Amino acid sequence: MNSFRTKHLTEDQFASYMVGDAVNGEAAAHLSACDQCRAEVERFGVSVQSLNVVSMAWSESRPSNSLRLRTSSRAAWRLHPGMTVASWGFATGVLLMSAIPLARHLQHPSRESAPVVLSAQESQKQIEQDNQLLMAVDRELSTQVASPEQEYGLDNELSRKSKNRELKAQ
Amino acid sequence: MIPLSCRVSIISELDDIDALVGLYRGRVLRYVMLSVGDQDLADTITQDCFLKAYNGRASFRGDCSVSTWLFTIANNLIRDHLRTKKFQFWRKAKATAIDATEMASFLPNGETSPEARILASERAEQVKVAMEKLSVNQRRMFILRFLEEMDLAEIAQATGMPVNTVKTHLHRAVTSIRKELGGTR
Repeated sequence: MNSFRTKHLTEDQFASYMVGDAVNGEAAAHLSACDQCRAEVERFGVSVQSLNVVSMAWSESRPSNSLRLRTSSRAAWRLHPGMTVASWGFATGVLLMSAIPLARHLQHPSRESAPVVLSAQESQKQIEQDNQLLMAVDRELSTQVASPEQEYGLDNELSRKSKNRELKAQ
Repeated sequence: MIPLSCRVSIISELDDIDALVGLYRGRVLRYVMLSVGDQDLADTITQDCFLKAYNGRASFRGDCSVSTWLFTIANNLIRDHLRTKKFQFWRKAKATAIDATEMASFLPNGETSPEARILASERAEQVKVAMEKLSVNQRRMFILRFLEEMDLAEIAQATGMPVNTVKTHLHRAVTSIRKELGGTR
């Protein structure tokens, strides 16, 4: 394929020349003589260069966050094993602090939660005390506070009606 | 192999993540954005790329330049994202895609005339539209060769492909773009 003697560069020659994979003397010689092929090579190059400039302008305009903080925080955990040991120690301490009282509680249940068991004598004595207390309260209430029937004078009326009913029945 | 003195300077360069980002972010972000076609995803992948590079800086042996190493990491991340269903969805939605005209609006005002800006954005848009018709591999090779101006061996290293495969992809990419630009006879 002699492009110098034929009309123009072939597709393959054009691509090889642009890619620059090998020094193609024949293509170079043709380009020095053929204005049309040279213009096409230049146009290709200018178009690609335009994309190069435009895309780089876009790329450099994009805001960028500093990655130092992210890497330093990660590195701090990774590079200082003492931190990891300390955190594990802290977690173990918290676990023990909650586990020990729980274990003690299970082994020796507290008095508050234990059922109260009294002997029969103690029980009888307690019942008597409670009865005395209740009776004292009852007495106190009956002397201090008038019943609603007494307050409105209904107690006499009620006793009279009941007597009449008894007489009629007889 | 890079000499020891250069390796020392590279290692100290890698220790300062903000300096690393300042030096290479523009190129990596541009590469990722043109590869995936989505601004937000490109931002995420680029950030991940620098974090991964920083965290794995001890594994950098100095066999290649820092930029080639970063492009290798970016390529791996792009490949991982291309496989996800989430990416397939956003590619269909084209939610935050950007065209060259919009990109051209970021050109510095003082350096370019309005006419030059319009012309540049038209030419850039032609190439960008043509690039979108390429396969993923062809597009990646094309960007690395013509925008990043990497040589074939560097592209092979960054993409993990043999040089001959790189050449084949690039030949097809150039032929296709030439056709789209109206240059085929």
